[in-house]
Amino acid sequence: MDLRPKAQVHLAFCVQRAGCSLDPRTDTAAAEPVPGAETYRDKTVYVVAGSAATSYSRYFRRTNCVDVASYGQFSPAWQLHRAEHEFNHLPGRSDVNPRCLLSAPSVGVLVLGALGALSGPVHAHDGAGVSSSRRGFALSAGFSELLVLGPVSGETMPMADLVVEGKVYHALHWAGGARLGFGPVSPEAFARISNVPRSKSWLPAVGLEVGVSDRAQQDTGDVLLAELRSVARDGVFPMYVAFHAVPLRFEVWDTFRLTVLQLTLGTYIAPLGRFTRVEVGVVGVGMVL
Amino acid sequence: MKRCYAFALLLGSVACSPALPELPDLSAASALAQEVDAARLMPWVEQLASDHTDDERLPCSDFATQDQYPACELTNSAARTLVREAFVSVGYQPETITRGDAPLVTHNVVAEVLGRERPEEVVLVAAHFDAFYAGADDNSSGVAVMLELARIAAEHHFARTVRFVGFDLEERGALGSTRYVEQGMADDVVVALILECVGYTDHRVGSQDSPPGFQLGDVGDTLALAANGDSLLFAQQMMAINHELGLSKLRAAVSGGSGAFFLTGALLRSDNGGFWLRGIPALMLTDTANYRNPNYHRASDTPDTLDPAFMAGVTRLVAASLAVFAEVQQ
Repeated sequence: MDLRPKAQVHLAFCVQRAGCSLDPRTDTAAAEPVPGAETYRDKTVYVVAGSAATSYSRYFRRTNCVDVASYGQFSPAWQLHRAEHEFNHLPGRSDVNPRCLLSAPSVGVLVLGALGALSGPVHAHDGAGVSSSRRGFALSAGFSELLVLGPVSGETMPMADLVVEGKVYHALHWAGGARLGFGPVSPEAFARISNVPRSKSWLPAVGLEVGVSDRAQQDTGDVLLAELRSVARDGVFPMYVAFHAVPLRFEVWDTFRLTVLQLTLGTYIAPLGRFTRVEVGVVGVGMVL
Repeated sequence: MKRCYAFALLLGSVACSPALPELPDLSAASALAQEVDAARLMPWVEQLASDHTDDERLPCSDFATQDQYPACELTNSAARTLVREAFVSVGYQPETITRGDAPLVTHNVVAEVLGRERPEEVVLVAAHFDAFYAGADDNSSGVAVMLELARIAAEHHFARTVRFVGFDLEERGALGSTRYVEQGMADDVVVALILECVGYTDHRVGSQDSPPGFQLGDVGDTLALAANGDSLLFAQQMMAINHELGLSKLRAAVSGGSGAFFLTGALLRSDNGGFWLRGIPALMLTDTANYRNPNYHRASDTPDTLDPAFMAGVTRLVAASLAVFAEVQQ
């Protein structure tokens, strides 16, 4: 499986072709302007997305995460030298994988969030109606699917959540809420801090979430690998950190909110990276109070 | 300026890297590797495959048959007897450690050469002896390598204890090895060398697949060495030994930290999993099983599909590594 986001790398090429050089190695393309990249704001979006994509690509390809080295009597000398070099830079001497788990998926979320955030003004007071922050709080509820991935397990479960959101300063918002998971039933609590730029009725958000959850310690798998899964769960601290992005949220009539997509990617904090959470919110409705 | 310092610090943390480990004089390791009798390997495989084929299948009602998991084709008892008798035949007094409740009772078979200087430090060599169908590659090949190493080790003295373990019911979720680790029997292990499918090669381009996140090349002719942060030093030493002595075509797949993450879950699919989760250094040597071998968990996993020369190379590499890790005494 190729984990590199080819489309996003292509975007980096687009930026480079528009005149914003990100990577000298890509400096072979014809200097042809990209339609729609003329404005500063669009370029900024491209640069942010392109930079993230390039970093993401490099992250997997050359620097960290997992790597492979080879040498032996069958290797040509130059390959041997390269393998030795690579082996000297193997990632095992640091906590690379937790960083991978934190950063690799989160880059995708950040790109989405950055695209959303930079597509609108930074501050919420753009005159596009009465924002929730002026009026107090917003209450919303939604349904999502949570995937908890462990080293020898992967479980999905439906979740229902209830969230209260308010303003901290300008576009900076806080949120707190609770989720109820099913199969088996288990509650979660969480808090968020988010950047919520606003563009007319579009209300995207990107931020950080911390929560308390014992889902990683619950085993719903079959008997195969049950004992190994039990060892993997042993000692997992029931708290997680995550990146949170809501690229598709809308406010209608200054009162009602509709969310059709939200992503939360994170990891339980100890052992860091052993269990990863991927939550995809499929639908949510809310009201500004 | 602060940004410059931060950048410099970041650059330094990325650029600094350890040198390859220094190795002792490898003449003793080379000598031990040369004691490998390649002609002994395939007869073990053939005997084990025959035993598996004729053996009584284990109860399977708790397990669902799936693609690449023929739940009701698993056998272990005849192979366990063979492993035990093979240990006895070369002078060991093996112990059978029984754990668990029916139908998932495990019988690990353990034999060891007590270390002369630091017997409390153990270098463990292990292979699981349960198998689906004939199980030539998975894992009679690993068992055959372990038995040949046991034969050689029985004739030598080591500073550290060398322990051989035939793990039971790996195919039911690494049960034998997980219980072995969880009940504290591996607390004295300095490093475990896990032999998991070490007999199959395919020299055609495109014959090698890779698990997500790893690139194992296109040609299925290499031995893969799976390591994590805890066993990295031993992996480096084994790579260096292999480089110096030219024993096998070797690739290392190294996962950082404990290696126990969902992205690297493919590396935990064998008896090293329980060791990694408890922070005990372990290396898994493998031909990559289903990432290369189309006979994986099929009735076609028969001795005639294996590469005896490849197995011999693996055995010599592990013998040389054993000599270094356990400090063979002249």
